[in-house]
Amino acid sequence: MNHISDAELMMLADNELPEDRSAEVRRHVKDCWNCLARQAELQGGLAEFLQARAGAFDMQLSAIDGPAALLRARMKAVRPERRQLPWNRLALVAAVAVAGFWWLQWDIEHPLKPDSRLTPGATMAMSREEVCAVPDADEMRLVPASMAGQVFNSYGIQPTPRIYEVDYLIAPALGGATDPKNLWPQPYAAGVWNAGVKDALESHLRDLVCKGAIDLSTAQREIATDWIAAYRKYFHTDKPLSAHASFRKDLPWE
Amino acid sequence: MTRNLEIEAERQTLADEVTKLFQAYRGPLLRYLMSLGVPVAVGEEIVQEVFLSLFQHLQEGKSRANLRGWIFRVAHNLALKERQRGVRRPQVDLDEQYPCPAPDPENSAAESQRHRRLMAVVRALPQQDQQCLHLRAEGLRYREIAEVLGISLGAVALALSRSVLKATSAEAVR
Repeated sequence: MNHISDAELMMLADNELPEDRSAEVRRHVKDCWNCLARQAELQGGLAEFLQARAGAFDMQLSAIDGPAALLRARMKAVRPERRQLPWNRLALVAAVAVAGFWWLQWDIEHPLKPDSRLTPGATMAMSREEVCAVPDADEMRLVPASMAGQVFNSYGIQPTPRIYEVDYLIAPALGGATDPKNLWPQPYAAGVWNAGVKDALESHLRDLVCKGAIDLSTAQREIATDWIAAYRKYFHTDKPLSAHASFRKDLPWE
Repeated sequence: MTRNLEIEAERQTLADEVTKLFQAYRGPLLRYLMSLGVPVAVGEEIVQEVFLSLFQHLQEGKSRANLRGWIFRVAHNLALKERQRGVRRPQVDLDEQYPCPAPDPENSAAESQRHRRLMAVVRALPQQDQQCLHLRAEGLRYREIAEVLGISLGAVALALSRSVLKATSAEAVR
């Protein structure tokens, strides 16, 4: 019989081997002093690690009651309607992107603003508390493929990979809805006023809303009317701040 | 009206279920996050986020298969994101993060010193080996660890055996 590897001995000790293989390995180990010694070393080592680790971490944990109560309050604030949001059933269209030739001629200083007839903006019925209770997650990029196609269609764009992202005009983190009326194709390479800059504005507005510095409806209206004007107003600048040019919302984690 | 009451009752049941899971896994998750170098306070916030996502996940009627693996995976990914964001935050000193074990009358001084050394050896291991060890320590099965880290089952077994031997042999030498 072949030599039993440390990995398999470890699996045996942890009861992780499939049954037939487990029986085979056990039979071998019974008569193999070398294997027995290594198995003992692995088991002992793991036990020692578990003990050392327990001592290092357990003392730091505070009582669970506070955190549990906080979680319950936050769950209460999650609106039941959320379950009907389309991104349940979505294929993950992480930054659906497309191309056309014409974008090459794009004046790179020229911002692409959404067409206000096609994309006036749409919101979910959520209060400030509800918006702020839900973590600023990355559902940003979860647009169903069919809906993305519809958006490109309405803008008369032929989709080709990696040139556009289908962006929310009013971000979900600000109560924006996943609705064609709230989606538009935003070129990644739209010069200085690109998707990263808009993401930075969204984060900033959300902070202001959750701190109570501005109303949720004001934030929604301003970003929907003219996001570049809103950026200039809230960051007190004419041009995008250099740090924001590469600002990226994190990638989806699921 | 009855429908609304039903929905509310359903939400309540789900919230109870999530709270139970929170009670069972908050400690293990926090320890795992600390082992990744996340400060306790940030870890608490991540754990909240994990269970809020779980609540939504279940509300949307998504898969209930292996919820423990799901919970750890989401926490792991949030911790990595937090670390990327960490440039804005002062780095956590891992030696502070793993404090000396509290004096325990049943533990001899020599033993706690040995434990400290062992943890120091573990901290010097490759990142993924450490993660495997800590997830194993929280009682996850190899299949769950493989899923959390996005590696194969064999890679988990290899990482565990390799790092256990390394940690304990290095310890014995001193």
